[in-house]
Formats: sequence, C-alpha cells, structure tokens
Amino acid sequence: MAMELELGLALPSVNFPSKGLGLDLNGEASPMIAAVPKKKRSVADAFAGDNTTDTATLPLFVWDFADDGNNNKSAYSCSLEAFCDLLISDDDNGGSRSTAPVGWPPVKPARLKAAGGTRYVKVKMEGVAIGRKVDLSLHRSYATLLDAVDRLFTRNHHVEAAGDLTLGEDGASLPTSHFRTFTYQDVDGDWMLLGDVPWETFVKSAKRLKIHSSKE
Amino acid sequence: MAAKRRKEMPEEARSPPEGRASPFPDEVLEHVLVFVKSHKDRSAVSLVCKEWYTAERWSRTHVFIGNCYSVSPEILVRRFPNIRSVTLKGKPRFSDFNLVPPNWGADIHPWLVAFASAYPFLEELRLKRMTVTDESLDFLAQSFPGFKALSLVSCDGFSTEGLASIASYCRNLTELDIQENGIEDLSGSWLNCFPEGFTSLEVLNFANLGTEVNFDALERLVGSCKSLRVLKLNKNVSLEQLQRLLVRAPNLRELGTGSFSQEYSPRVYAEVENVLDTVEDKGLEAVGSSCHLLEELRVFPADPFDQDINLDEGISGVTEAGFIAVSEGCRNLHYVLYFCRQMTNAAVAAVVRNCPNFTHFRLCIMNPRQPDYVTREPMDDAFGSVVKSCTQLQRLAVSGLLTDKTFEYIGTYAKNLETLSVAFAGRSDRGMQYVMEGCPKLRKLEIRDCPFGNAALLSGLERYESMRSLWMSACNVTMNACQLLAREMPRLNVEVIKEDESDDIQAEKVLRFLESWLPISCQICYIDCGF
Repeated sequence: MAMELELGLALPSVNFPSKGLGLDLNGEASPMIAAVPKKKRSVADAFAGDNTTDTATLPLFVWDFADDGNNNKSAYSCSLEAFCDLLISDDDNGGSRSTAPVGWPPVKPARLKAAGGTRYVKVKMEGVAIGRKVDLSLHRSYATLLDAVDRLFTRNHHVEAAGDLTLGEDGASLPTSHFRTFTYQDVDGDWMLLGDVPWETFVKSAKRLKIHSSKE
Repeated sequence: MAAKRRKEMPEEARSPPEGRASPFPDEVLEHVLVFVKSHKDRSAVSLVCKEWYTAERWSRTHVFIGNCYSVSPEILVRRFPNIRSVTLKGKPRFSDFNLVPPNWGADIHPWLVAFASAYPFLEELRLKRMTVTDESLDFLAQSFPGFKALSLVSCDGFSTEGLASIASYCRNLTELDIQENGIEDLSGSWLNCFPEGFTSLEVLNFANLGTEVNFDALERLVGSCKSLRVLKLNKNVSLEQLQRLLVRAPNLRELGTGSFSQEYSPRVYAEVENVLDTVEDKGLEAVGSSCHLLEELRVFPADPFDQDINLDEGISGVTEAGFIAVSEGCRNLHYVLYFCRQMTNAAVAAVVRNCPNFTHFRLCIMNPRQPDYVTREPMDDAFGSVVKSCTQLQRLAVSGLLTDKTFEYIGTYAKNLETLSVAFAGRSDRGMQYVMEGCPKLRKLEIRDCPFGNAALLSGLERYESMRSLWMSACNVTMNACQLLAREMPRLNVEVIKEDESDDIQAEKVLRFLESWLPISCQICYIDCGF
C-alpha cells in the first residue's frame, strides 16, 4: 500500500484517524524537495536553536567534504549534533586522533578495553555551547588531563586560561583554580569533584566531565 | 506441583465436554504443551481459545521478556504461576555505546521481589542490559534455594561483591556466565566464596573480568566440579595454569580465555570467528582458504578512532578485498559483522553473490557518510544487493553514504527483516517511511543521526504495537509528534530523553508534557512497543 505524498503542513491523511486534531506538525513538506538542497544554511541559522516556533527542526545541509574528483561536492542533510561534530577540529589531544561522534563507531567499551583502546568522555564547560571530547586513555594523571582540557577550551573558545591548576603533594587531592571547578559524573550518575579518587579508579568510572566557572 | 494447582483452577476447566473447543481433557493438553518450548509458539497457542490459553499459562516454565517495560512483574506472576526460568532484556541496545543516560532504569530488583514471592523455586535468570546491584544479587542468592543458572550480559550496577554472594549462597549453581558488563571489578576473591563440597558447576564464564582470581581456589573448584563443560577464564590465567586446569576437567568441551587472538592462526573447523582487524586482508584470505565451514564472522576494529590515515602507507585494518576473500572461501556464512574503513558497492554485491544465505548482515564503514571509495557514489546499491540476494535476512545494519534509495530497497525486498540499525543515513522522511510500510516483520528499529522527522515517526503509527522497540536519536522529531503518538497509541510507552538547560539528561515520560504545548526539539525518542 503506497502512502500518498501530500504537500502541505498537515499529516498525510491515509489511514490516519486523527486528522482533525488541529496539530500542525509541519513535517517535511515534500520528500522530493527535501532531497534536493536549495541552499546552504548559514552557521547562524544552524545554531539558532529556535525552539519556540511550532515547526519541526529542519535538517541542516552540509557539504560533503569529500568531492568526487571533479570538484563536485554533494550535499546531504545531517542532525545538529553531527554538524557540530564536523565543526570540531581534529587536533584535540595532541592531534593524532580525529574526534568521532558519541557512541561511534558502535563498539562496546568492553571490547575497546580488550583491544587496549580509547576511553572518550564528553567535556562540557559551563557557558560554552559546544562540548568537546577527551580520551582518558591518553593520560596518566589528573595533571595532564586538566592541562589538555584547559587547552581545548582556551584555544577554541577564547576562554580565559584557568591559571594555576594545583594538586596536592600526593597528586590526588582536589584540583582548584581561580576560575574553574572540575567535576565528573561517575557510573552511578553522581557528580563528583575531580581528584577525589585515585587516577585508575577515575578512568574506569568517569562518564563525562563538566567545568564550572566559579571563583575559588 | 502443577497437578496440585489444577484443583484450584476456575470453573472453566471443569465444564462439560460438549461445547468445548478441545476433544480431550485439559490435563492431556498441558502434558502436550510441555513440549512446546519456543515462546513465539506458546504465544500462538495461547491465542487459540480460552482453554488453550489457560492450559498454556499453567504449563509454561520459561518466559522471555524482550523489553522489561512491556509488562509489569505483577502482571507476569499473575498470568504464569509455574515459571522456573526467566529471560529479561532492559535498556535499548544503544546504551552499549553511551547513548542512554545513567540511571535510566531497567532495574531488576522489583522483578526479584515479585519472583521471591511467586516463584520460590526459580532456577534460571538470564539478563541483558539490566541494572543489577550487589544488593539485588545478594537478595537473589538468598531467596531461591534451588537457583541454578545466572547469566548477566551487558548489565551494570554491580561489583564482584555481588558475585561473592552468588558463590556463597547458591548451593546448586550450575551456570555462572558474566559477559561484557560495566561492573566494578574490585577483586578476584569472589571465586574463593564457593563453599567446600560445592560440585554442581557446569558453566563458568568470567572472561571479561579484569582482576586476577586466586588460582588455587580455581583449581579446587574445577577439580570438584566434575560436570564442568564450559570454562571461560580471564586473561590473567597463564598457559601453564591452563594446563593444570585442563587435566582436572575431563568433561570440558569449551575453553576460552578473555583476549582476542591478535595473531592469526588457522582453525580449520571453526564455525564462529571473532577477530580484530589487525589480521588485515591477508588474514581474512587465510580464513577464506582454510575455514570452509565458517558460519559466523565478526571483525572488530583494533583502533576505531584513528582516522588520521596516511594513504601512502595503505589503509590499516580490513578492506573490501578481505570481505570478498572470506565470502569466496566460506560459502556457509550466514552471520557477518564487519568494521572497515573503505568499501565498494561492487564488493558487497560480490559477497552476497557468493553467500546468499546471510541472516545477519552488519556492515560498519567507520567514517560516517562515506561513499563508495572507487566510484564516489552512495552505498545504496550495496545494500540493495544484500536485500535482493539474501531473502532470509533477519538483521541488517547499514552504513556509509546512503540516500532514501537504500530504504526503498529495504522496504521492497527485506520481507523477513526483524532488526534494522541505521546511522548517519537517508535524505528525507521517505526513507523511514519505506521501511515502516514495507517490512512486515520488523521488530526493532534503531536510528541515530538521520534526517527523519515527524512524518516519518507517525508513518509507523499502526506498526509500533507489533514491534518491540523504536529508538530515534539526533533526528528531526519534535515533542509535538511524540505527544501525538503517545495520545493516539496509549498502549505504547513513549519516552523522550532530553537535555534541559542544566545539561542533565533526563528521561521523562512524554505524557507529562501534555500540559505544555511548546514544541521542543527532542534529543532522543524511545518507544517501547511491547512483547
């Protein structure tokens, strides 16, 4: 049974019982139109994040970075998150690895550990729209991790440098700074201050990091 | 036990023979139904008539629940009084890849409480993607004296302390299978907790645990459990120690260690092969030339995140050449999971020409939206050839640069498809609509980072009740559509997981948003569709 393609703002009416709901969903007006890119959305449009209008978020059209050799680039649509991932430069963490979207490729962490693989966690800084990712397996201590994270945001977001990141003599006490508080979310979902537990325990249990701007 | 309960049965069982659906007494029917094992067959049996429904529910001893939110423990124990074995699955599969927030749910404990009272003779529990705490494991170990088999796959929330409880209290344990769980590995001393005189173990798998167990305790355990037939150890056991164990385990049929084999070694009779892509194409050529009986192949990436490839040195990992080589030699292949960095439409077409019997075809080209690297075209024709050739295909995962054409092929040809995984693919709602319209047996659909929106979501309105689950994340679905879906299909469990202003991801039932008409762009929409 082929579904009628309706050009319009209401839902397709075939077999659909609730046509009279009065709910404007403004889905894709026509799939054929959507498949042909009309224009490239500006970065400002992409990040407008305007959720107050009664419309579906339209897909972003992004040029394929690989052309076909004749300088013909193809356009395709992607989600906002994927678009952000494309924007993130690939010289995180010293430059040897490109970032991948969260949970991609779809390999279980247990298998990555078996292969001696990576340990990516999301890092968000309060007040900064785009999160970053850092590979914990590349670091051996809190000191190098904090340094790398700090450089990530400072370089790319014109954020003030954090100043001295101090750790206690045993290397395992609370990191403090004049500008930042570092926290992480562990496997239980609890938010903890960075530095409370030994490094190895932290690497195994950290799911994501967050940097708060607070005066110490 | 079953005979005793028959006297408590309602009037319907004692009604006179004339006017009843079956020509023989219920006792006979129940004895016959004992031989019906498959849960799909049993569901069919229960729908025949009231007598059969009743006979089926009294005679069922094993229940499979593919989605723990599709039914409550109370409803389960009310319907099936004689259960000995439960299989429960919880979180969406994408939770394996950190796409589901922590504390999402799928807690085993309420189930255990219900089972402790209704099924004191419970023997087996098999869980996948459930949250299990040490307290729950302790409760389990002490509530079911006849407990025999525990299998935990991709679960989280417990530590080796919980395993210690199981070892200590489950006197009749025959199977302990711990796989790929996100657990806290505190120490290997849990193995010491098996008591003196414990002899019943037949299956022991702790290959994924990291900490070292006490070898003497392990040796004693293997020595006293004469029926041990499956033993999978973690990588801390040395070859020499392995030898000592083998001597003591005469009935051993399966032996494993936790590590992948990095060096390729030909195994002529292997039926299932899991390799890292460090074996490269020449390793796969060797597989193709020697493992003619191979039925399942899984090739995992050793270094999935390294995209900084120097093309002069050639590509690392495996390519389309290795895939073709395996398919030429292993004509019995029916399951493949293949991670690679480059692929062509022609190669995939050749593979399925060689092996038309695929039931599971999962291809992951690791760079999202990558086209055919020779022709620079989308990979639509690759998956078109898969669904045209492999008529028995049950599970498909697609990748690479894909337009809606791929989904048109799937909807047209993949009539036996039950599970579909889609990422970074498609051009419009039509893509998802083709699948919802064309795949009558579809049970699980998981989609991430695709331009499918509200029209696509709602095109499946009448399909969802016959499916197990739908996952959509980073697509173009809005809250309005989720609200509409939840309202139109009240038997569905529609859940929206969104990031609010404080950046905490929360899972909230969509129904709570009915008061608010503000459309919010959904991050993730997860629909539990039922059994």
